[in-house]
Amino acid sequence: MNKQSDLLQGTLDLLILKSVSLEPMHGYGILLRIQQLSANRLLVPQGSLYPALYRLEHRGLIRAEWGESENNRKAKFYRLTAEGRRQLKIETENWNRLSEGVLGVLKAAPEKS
Amino acid sequence: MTWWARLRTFARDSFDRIRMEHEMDAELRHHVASYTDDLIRRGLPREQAERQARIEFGHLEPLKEECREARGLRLVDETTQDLRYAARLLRKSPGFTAIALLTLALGIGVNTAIFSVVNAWILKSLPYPDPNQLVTIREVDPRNSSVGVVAPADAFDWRKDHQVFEDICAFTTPIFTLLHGDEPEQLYGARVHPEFFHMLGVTLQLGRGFLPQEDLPEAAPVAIITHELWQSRYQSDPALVGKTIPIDGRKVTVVGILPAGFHLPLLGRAAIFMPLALTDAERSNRRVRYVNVIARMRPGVSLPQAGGYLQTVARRLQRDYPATNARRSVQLRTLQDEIGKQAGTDQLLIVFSLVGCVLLIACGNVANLVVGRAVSRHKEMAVRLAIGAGRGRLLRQLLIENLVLFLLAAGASVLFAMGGVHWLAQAIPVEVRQYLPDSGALRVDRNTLLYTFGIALATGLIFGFAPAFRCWSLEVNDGLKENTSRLSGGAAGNRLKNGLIVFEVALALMVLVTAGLLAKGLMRMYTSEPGFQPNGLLVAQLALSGSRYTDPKRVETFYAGVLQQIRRLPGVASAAAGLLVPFADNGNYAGYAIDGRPRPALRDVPTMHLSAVTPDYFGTMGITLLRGRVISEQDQAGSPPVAVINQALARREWPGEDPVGRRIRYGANFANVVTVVGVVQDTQGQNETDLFEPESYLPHSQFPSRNMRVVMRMNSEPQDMASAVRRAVLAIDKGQAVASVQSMQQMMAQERAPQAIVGQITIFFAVLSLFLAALGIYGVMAYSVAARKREFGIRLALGAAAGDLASLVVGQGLKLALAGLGIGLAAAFALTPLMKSILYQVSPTDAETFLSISVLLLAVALIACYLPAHRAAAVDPNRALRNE
Repeated sequence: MNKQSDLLQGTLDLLILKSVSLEPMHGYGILLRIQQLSANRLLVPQGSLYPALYRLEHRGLIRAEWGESENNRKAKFYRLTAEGRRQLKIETENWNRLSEGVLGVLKAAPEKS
Repeated sequence: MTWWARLRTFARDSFDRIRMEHEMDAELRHHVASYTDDLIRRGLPREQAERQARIEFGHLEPLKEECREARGLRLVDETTQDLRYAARLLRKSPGFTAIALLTLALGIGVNTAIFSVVNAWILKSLPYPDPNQLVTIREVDPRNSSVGVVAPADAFDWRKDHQVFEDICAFTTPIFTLLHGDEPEQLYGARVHPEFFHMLGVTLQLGRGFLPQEDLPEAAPVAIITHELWQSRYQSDPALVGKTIPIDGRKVTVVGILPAGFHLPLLGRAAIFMPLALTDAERSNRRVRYVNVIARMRPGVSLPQAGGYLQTVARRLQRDYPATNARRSVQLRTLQDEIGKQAGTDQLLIVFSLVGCVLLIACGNVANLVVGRAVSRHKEMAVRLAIGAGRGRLLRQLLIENLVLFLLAAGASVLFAMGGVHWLAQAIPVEVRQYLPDSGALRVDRNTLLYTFGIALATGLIFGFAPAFRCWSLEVNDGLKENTSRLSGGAAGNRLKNGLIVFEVALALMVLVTAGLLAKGLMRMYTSEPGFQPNGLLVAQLALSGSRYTDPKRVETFYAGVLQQIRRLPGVASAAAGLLVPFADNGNYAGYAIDGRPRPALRDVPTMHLSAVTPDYFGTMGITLLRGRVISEQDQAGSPPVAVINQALARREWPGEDPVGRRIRYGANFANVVTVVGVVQDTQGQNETDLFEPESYLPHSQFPSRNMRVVMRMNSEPQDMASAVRRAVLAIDKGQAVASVQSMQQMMAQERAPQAIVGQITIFFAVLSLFLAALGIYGVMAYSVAARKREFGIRLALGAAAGDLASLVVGQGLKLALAGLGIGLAAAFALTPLMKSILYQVSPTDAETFLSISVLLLAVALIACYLPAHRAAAVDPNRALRNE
């Protein structure tokens, strides 16, 4: 299964918000963090990361400022805003509800005909 | 607050676009560099790592575009493109641009000019705190003149309430005589309740307002004067407050100075204010309604609530004082409305809707041009669709092109508007202006500009939408196949253009009919016989002040003396005095009864104008005697009371009979009896539309009045008669002043100014809309002939005569004009009755006007069709057919 094309936009937003909630992070760092936390099961396509970041900043969920990255490069660091924290909570709950629901359906014993 | 965040990032990014692009670049480069580092750490050589990082990251440009879109910047970019493209197109076809711009700028400009008047006189709120709580109260009594002012006793009864109203103030507008050194000068003034300025919310510039104890007849007199009077007469002397000035022969202490620019239109040019100070007898006068009332409702009280409350009070008064109040009810209006009514709201709104029609016609023409151009651009559109442009994008582009055109026109229209405003401001005489808010000042202000660009935007969108929308239905294949030489826009295009023409003709007809009716009224006004000889007539207004003239005998002696002095002046052929002079904006209604007939019920008492005249009044005015005799020197205070009546009264009371010898009763309980001794011609100038109203003339000796007007018949060009009359008056009494000396011609012009201005403006708009509609018809027909050249060529080749083609074209145009005419006539017929109140003795559905306007419009339509038809007839079949 090709995970790259399967990552829904809403899911990517949720993952970004979660990563950024741990500590302020630059784009590349977010990418690595998602890969690391998902034990390399989720590969975020590099191209779709930045439009998502710009969209989230536009919605006021994250805020960017310039800083020094670990290898002494200037990088744009994203941090969660208060609005973003609220949104993360809501979306996490939604996601949990959804996955529980899906799991519940999948666990159902097959009907005997 | 996510919308706020969105707005912030959008604004930051679009205003500082360079920084945004730069940062985006830096961020993406950082990403690629970091990834490259990682790849090198994993063991790839630098060069290969850089290559792989770039490949995996993908193309930068589409990614950046996606980021920009995430911020909503793409719309900005595309709009900028569209704007540039629109500007280029307008430059490329200067003819189209010039005609469209001029038409629109004219249409929008006249709208802006008229709007500035509406804005200044109707919309602008009064410069007082909570102006919506200020109301005027009038008493309505069907017995004498339908709507009037208030009886003092009633006003004092209302003033007892403090639940609904904060304050209720009565005022009168007398003329004061102010002595300046030895020079008496008559000034407009007002007597007001002490709370008047406090109620309005006006803070005095200097001094204090009136005190309640100053509102008593025996109190020492005090006055508040306007800033302007203080400035011009007293050189802005701050020590004037506390000093006395001589007003009406009394020493009056100035207690306050009003702020600069204080102007309440209801008060006219009032410069001196004094307390009302009514005597007990005047306070309990319920019979005569002569005070005006302004009130301030308590906060939160609405107009209907206050009105309802006053009606219950009025009903109580009806019960308690049936003799005077039996039929009296109360009319409440906001002060704003009242001022608007005086400023001629009706006329303004009619002119405003006409000017709206002119704009719609102009828009119709431009829309036609745009449709024509859109058709010739089908191919361009089809190509753009074929290579992947979205239809929405094309629609947006066409709309933007239209908006650019309309907004440019709005900019240019401001020039027309300023010219129009300048003309209007000059056309209104000072005498009319003093009753207008802000003294009738007009300017193109922020509201006006907002309006200008607002209507430009609205009409641009509406009239741009139809042509632009046709892009939706454009078939790419058809569009590409379409031969560029075949300009015809197809059935849909023609329907749209024809519809616009019908619409324009209908609108033009409505404007023309309105103008026709007004013009006919104006013609009647200027050509009808006034009933007297206005040429060479001068009118001086006098108002005797001071306690000396409470004795009627003295009043009579004064006027007799003044008239004698004036008759001796060079150039004066004769002179007389009259209480009511035509066009002098005066009125003195009285209820009357005919002696020997059953007394009418109180509610049905008829009214007439009651004037007082000196013996040679009729001769001086040039009013013809029709029966009996005029007032003579023999009619003295002691002799039998007589009256001369006008034709209108004779017609009403004694149709077909001789009124001479009949007797009329008037006054309280109809106690006064006069015998009719003569009938004179009706005179105009009793009201705005010059409809004749019944009038009686009594001898001044038997009906003495202090406020007379002196009329002088001149046999040579008057030379500074104002100062000559003043000297004549001073020779009789040093303390009296003359309010004004004007020629009758001037007075007539002033009274008729509103009618004349409205008429002129309307006729101008009518000419404009006729011209625009003709231009529209011409444009469409010329276009259609050009598009059908080939068809005409074929027809000619198959044997049609040139004349047939011409009549084909004319017939087509005429059909459109007739359709528009029909619709316009129906609409005009339904709408003109709305303007009944401003028509001068013309029926709103005057058949002659409707007919002649229709003929005029058809004739113009024919001419507009003739030129294109002529061209159709001149088509050379060989060239037309070869020109594939």
